[in-house]
Amino acid sequence: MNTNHLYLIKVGEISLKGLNRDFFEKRLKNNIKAKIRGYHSHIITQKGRLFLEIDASCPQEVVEHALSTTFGLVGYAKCLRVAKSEEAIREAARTLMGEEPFKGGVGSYKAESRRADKHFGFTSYQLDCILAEEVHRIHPDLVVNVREPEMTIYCEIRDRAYLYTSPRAGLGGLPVSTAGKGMLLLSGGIDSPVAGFQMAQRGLRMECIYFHAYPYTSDEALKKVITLARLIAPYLQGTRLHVVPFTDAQLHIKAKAKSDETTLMFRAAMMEVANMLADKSEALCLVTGEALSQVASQTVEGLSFSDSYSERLVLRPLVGLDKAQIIETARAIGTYETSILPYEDCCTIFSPKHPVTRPDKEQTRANYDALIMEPFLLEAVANTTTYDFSASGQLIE
Amino acid sequence: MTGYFDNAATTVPSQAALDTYREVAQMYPANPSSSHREGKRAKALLDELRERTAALLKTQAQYITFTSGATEANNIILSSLIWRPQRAQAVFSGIEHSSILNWSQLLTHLGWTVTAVDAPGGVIDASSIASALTDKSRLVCTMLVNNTVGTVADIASITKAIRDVERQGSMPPIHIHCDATQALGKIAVDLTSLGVDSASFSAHKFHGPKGVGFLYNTKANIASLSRGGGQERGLRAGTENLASIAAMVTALEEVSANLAANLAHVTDLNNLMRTHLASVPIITPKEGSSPYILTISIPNVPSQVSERILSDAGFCVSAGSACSHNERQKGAKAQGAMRLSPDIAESSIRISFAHDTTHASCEALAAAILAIYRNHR
Repeated sequence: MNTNHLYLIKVGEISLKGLNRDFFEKRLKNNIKAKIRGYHSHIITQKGRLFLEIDASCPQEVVEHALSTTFGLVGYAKCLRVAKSEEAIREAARTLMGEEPFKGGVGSYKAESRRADKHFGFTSYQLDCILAEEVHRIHPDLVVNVREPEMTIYCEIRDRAYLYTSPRAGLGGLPVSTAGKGMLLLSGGIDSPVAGFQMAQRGLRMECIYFHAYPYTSDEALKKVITLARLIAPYLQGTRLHVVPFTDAQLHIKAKAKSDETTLMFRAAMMEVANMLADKSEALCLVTGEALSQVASQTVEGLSFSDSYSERLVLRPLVGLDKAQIIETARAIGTYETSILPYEDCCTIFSPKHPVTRPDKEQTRANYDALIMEPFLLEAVANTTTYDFSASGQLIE
Repeated sequence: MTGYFDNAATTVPSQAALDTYREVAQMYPANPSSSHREGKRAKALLDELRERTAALLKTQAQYITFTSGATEANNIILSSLIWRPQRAQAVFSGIEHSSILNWSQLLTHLGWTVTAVDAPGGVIDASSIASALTDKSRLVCTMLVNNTVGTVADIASITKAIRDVERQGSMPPIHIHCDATQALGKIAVDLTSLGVDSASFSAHKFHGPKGVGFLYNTKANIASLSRGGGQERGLRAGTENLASIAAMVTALEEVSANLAANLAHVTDLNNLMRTHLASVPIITPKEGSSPYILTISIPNVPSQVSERILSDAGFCVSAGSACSHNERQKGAKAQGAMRLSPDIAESSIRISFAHDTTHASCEALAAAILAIYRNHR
């Protein structure tokens, strides 16, 4: 086993699942493995835990990136696995004393043991004492602090004994692809990548759609969206980005629609295209980054109008969030800095100065239908190009 | 280069300049600061190049400091204020290049008063500059040819107005700095009649290489922030870029020899474009502007969109000043100081010519611009 590293993975919500727990666990295992492809690995399941055994040649950053971007696990730690004997446990504890964070030998600590195997010869408290003896023998200056320790040595007694010192928090949620598939409308702004992240957290698999209006939006804006898709791809377990050429449709709307309704008309047309692409991709819902009243078209009336052009459920996970909360998540998932790059996702020539904020649904629908958008939308879908991203966040050429 | 209309951003280096670069780089490899024979040869060439540059500008070699370009030359002048014990006032025309305007923040932070004087329509008015002066004024920066719209400032009148205020108020002398980057090699530049204390220049604007330029400075109280081996009389530390300096001088001699003929040709092109584009708003005033720059507006079309459409059609033009494209608000400060309406400023396109621009390419560009204009009316 010298050539393998072992990671203990704590599963969260899925351990509470009943008869379909296998389905969730199997998906979680596949999702983790998709990010460490190319390295020999093996995942075994135990009650409330997964154990990932991986070839030591796999860099620790790769494993940690895989585990820290996968939904469905609440924590993980690199661990040692030894025989369920006092001497083996003592020896493993001594090994851990030579590594971070205990290596320096200063500060406070505690020992924390738990037994899934209640037949083991020592109680949890006795085990804690055994660990503490070893800690103290190697680092006599360390002091015990059970309330707020700076470091902790853990021991879990299961089929064998598992010891570790540096558990990290996982994302929680449910494994992606356990909740079907949706289409994420990705604009290049701050909100839509966060919306994708939130729905991935509930297990939704997603493909992304970007509407590109070159030359009215720039190649840099497209590159920015490609970067955003790459950045969220690990959370989404890989994704496909559909780039829809939307210039002709937008010019048609600009030429024919009432100027104060152009944004609403764009939204309706985008909904229709998203549904056409969802048909092709067999997706069951749409996901957008809209938040109520954030911009003129995101009023209850505006959203009701655009919703009426989607045959599919439109999920808006950010609808009740404040911008500051959205930005906080964008920073945490690493998309914020890209989202704020100054490339506009809609050219000013398409933005009405005084947009309608409270459209009358029936009247506005009649106005949209009079535009006869279908030929433009079919053309846009036919000329859509795609980019694929792997679960580890690489653009697949 | 057919279709290249961005010569105010940079010009194509001339063959003679490139030949000079190669020759000097190979034949004078030593460091001009070295005291061996090869070093002395390099130093002798450097001295000769300084003399030739001074001769072209009808000034003295001791006033010429070779730099990496006009941005660095402007920075030397502005950074010298940091050494002054007193915090006083600097006056800029509001349409200066960002290498001057962007000093406002630091100078203000250090306790200086910075006054930016509006230049409506891109015209810097002598009396507006004069009325911004106070007894604390120590520096005035006023450019010769504006990089965004091509207007030529009446620097001689501005200088005279400043000196009059100085005399009437018995004030200490005000340093007058002139960014002449868009002028040299294109229109006549006579430093004596301009009456400025310093001026800055970049080789790549007159078909020399990028990364080299020079500062003309007559005042002893200019001290740079640059620390190092004391090159360029302490104003610009770092081993001299001899091959580039030589190439620059070759380019400058070339354009200076052909100045009148080039000017006539470019004036012709400018007039041709103005005739073809009679139906679109032209921002650059016909009188009092360098013919090398023609800034227009294509109403209702954001500058970047026109730039992209023209680029795809094989034309390189600029949406505002290329030097400010890394900023979030492209050239917004200078456009504000020109008091252009936002609609006009946001749809402006800068066309800039060179002596080798052809009539045919101008006609093709005009047709492409008119097509955009018609499609977005």
